[in-house]
Amino acid sequence: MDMTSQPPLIAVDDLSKSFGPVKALTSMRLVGHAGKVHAVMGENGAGKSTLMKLLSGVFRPDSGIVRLRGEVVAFGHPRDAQNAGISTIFQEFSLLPNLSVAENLFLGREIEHGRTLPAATRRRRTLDVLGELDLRIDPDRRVGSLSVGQQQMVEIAKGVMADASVFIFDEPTAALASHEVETLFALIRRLSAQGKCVFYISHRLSEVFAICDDVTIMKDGAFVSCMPTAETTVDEVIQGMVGRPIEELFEPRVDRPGPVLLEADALVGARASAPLSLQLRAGEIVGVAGLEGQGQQQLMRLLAGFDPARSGKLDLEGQPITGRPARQRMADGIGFVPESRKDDGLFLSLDIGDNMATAALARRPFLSWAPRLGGRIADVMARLSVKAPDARTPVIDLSGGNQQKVVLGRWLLGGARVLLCEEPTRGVDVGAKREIYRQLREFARDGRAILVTSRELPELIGLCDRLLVIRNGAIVAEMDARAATEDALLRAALPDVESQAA
Amino acid sequence: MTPQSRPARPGALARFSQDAFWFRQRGAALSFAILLAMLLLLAVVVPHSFYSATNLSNLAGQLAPLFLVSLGQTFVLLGAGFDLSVGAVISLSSAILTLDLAGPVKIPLALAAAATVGLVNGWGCVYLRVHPIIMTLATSSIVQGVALLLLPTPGGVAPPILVCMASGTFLGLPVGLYWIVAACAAAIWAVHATTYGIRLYATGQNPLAAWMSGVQAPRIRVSTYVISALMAALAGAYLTGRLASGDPNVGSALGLDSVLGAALGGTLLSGGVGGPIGTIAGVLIIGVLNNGLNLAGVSPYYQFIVKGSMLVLAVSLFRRKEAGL
Repeated sequence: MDMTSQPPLIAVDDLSKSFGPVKALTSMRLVGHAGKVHAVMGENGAGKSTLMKLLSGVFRPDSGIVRLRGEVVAFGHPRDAQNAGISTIFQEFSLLPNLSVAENLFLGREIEHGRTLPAATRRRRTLDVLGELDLRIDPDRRVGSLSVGQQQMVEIAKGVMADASVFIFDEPTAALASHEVETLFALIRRLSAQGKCVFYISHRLSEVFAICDDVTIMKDGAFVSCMPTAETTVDEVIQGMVGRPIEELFEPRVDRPGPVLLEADALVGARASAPLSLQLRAGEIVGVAGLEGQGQQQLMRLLAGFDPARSGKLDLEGQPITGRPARQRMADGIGFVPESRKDDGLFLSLDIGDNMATAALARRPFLSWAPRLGGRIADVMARLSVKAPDARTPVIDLSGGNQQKVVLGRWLLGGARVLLCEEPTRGVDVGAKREIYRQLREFARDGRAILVTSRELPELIGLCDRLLVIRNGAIVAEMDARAATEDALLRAALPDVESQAA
Repeated sequence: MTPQSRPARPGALARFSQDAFWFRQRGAALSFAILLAMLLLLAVVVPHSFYSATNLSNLAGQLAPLFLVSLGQTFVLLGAGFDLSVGAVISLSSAILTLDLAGPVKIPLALAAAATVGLVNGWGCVYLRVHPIIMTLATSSIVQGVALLLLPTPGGVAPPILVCMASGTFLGLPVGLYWIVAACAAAIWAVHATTYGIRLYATGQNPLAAWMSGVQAPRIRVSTYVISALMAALAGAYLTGRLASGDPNVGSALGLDSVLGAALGGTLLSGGVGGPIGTIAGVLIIGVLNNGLNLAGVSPYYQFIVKGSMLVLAVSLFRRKEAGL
């Protein structure tokens, strides 16, 4: 869809990229024009960041073509993309905090025409570039001592200095204070007024409608649509980002939840930004939905006891457990399934039996005899249908889905009543997903309760009975999963969407 | 456009955290302060014996090898590496220099051998991804073995030119001082006046970010091991000349002391902060400490205890977290 008569400055066609068996990007296309700000939108995991890393030379595409001013380009190294005039401002900065602003701007390009630029020249040119962007930062200032917003400005200055024609901003406002956002927007407008092409990756709808001319929507690593922002609406964009049928993967829900198992009342953790109140009832699976990094992890870890509570109350089956540390809470019956199974959840070199036994052994005093749990472990393995010859198989040899079952089995064996489960199906294939959904539902059906976080909204809606929406560390909405839609969840989870939608 | 207020010209203390150059050298400032305090203390306790021309001249002669290896080690540490093999390289250099060969052959041979060790260290750490401590511990063992094969017991004859360059005085000053000044000047020039220096700081801080900025981070890291080994070979040459003969174990104590000198000078073992200026202070602290304790009649064994305690103190003072990185 060509919005202007000019040929595009940059055009991406049929771009694909896989990481092992996972297809991150399939036949993606994207067109950017000089002087335009172009939003790229999509849900978490839609492939936005992969696309931008391909454009900036961090990854190499498996197939597809990138044309810059009509000419086909291929980048083997970030430097290639920078030399071609594509400058990327990543979420995680590529600046060196121990170097000064001037040293960062000239890093790797101190030599010009075979001669090293004198420090005074570099300093003067840094001042020129900073002045061009209206930034008042001392060139000798250490980058690590600047605010996040100022560091981002330095990243942009790096691109301006390299005379880039395409600027890519990857979630630029995620870590900015509101006055810094204003400065950033002014800079972006200035860049586009100078005829640069700006790609703006964000899931903040209000920002996209505020500063972008066009918007490309992606879903599941593929192109959905591209249109001028003036000709679309918030609803249409959200529809494009989510509109996928929920796969028939899920078990029937519970009819009537039992008594309250876990109750948090105005619980405040050391790292939490808001007091937390929630109830988990026997038989229930409750989901925590939200954009990435809105405090899901802090919430789970506060309940699990890894973060000490500063105030508030936490009861398990009516017994107060607020002051008890994580190890005692495990013994009390709160199981925790961490998001990164391999780093935090499993001892990869140990066998299935040892991995499953840890929770059961947590109840026992230090240096007590470790009982043989062989028979019970075999029962749990059979119940979860872990695909392994026996309990002596090292966990490292199992597939992602079977590893996840071992973590679940640990808490079945350990007699947990409440399971805190982060991203239950991360890195497992569709078949194993269905199996894990079934296991979680069975776990809950026996009078236990589960709290789940997930990046995938359809998964939460299908799996859970009740959904909590978290934003900025606070639970801002609660809905029945039967009636919930991705649209409604996303609306509740997105900051500032109301003002635009109204 | 909301203009950001220009930061007020920082005060002297704030400069150490805001200004990049001073930030990287702030450990050095502390080390020089400690050194100054020690020198003042010695002026009170043992004024005549410490500040005598003979003692200071001896001190320069003794400290020259430690200066060389500590400065070399500083490069490795800045690049977030670690070189345990410098002691063995000193010994190897001493063994090669007292081989039964013509002098003009032996000196380049010793340097080439050291460069090879440095390349192997760098290649193992950077491309084979062996942990620097394991890699250099392994090469240290190999190199020490080769040194002992070449020169099983102390002896042999040093090339006359080295004997001449490593003993006595020149223009009224001890020759050790010239070695020290030359090594310090070269190291400070390389780190603070060249693009290599900036790239080294960048690589030590974050090799990936440096690579994305177009810095050949792997090559920089390998180069630090080569520099360290070459400095160790020069230290071996100096020691061989000073003793006028070879010793296959002459470097054994200097390996860890080189790390001590750099660390006491505020160079972080995690890379990217510190530098040769601080190492000067660090080495002087070690030298003045040993010398002062000797002059005060303290048992030399206490020196080990004091040195170890100072290392713990230094490393806990110059922590990365407090550096805000």
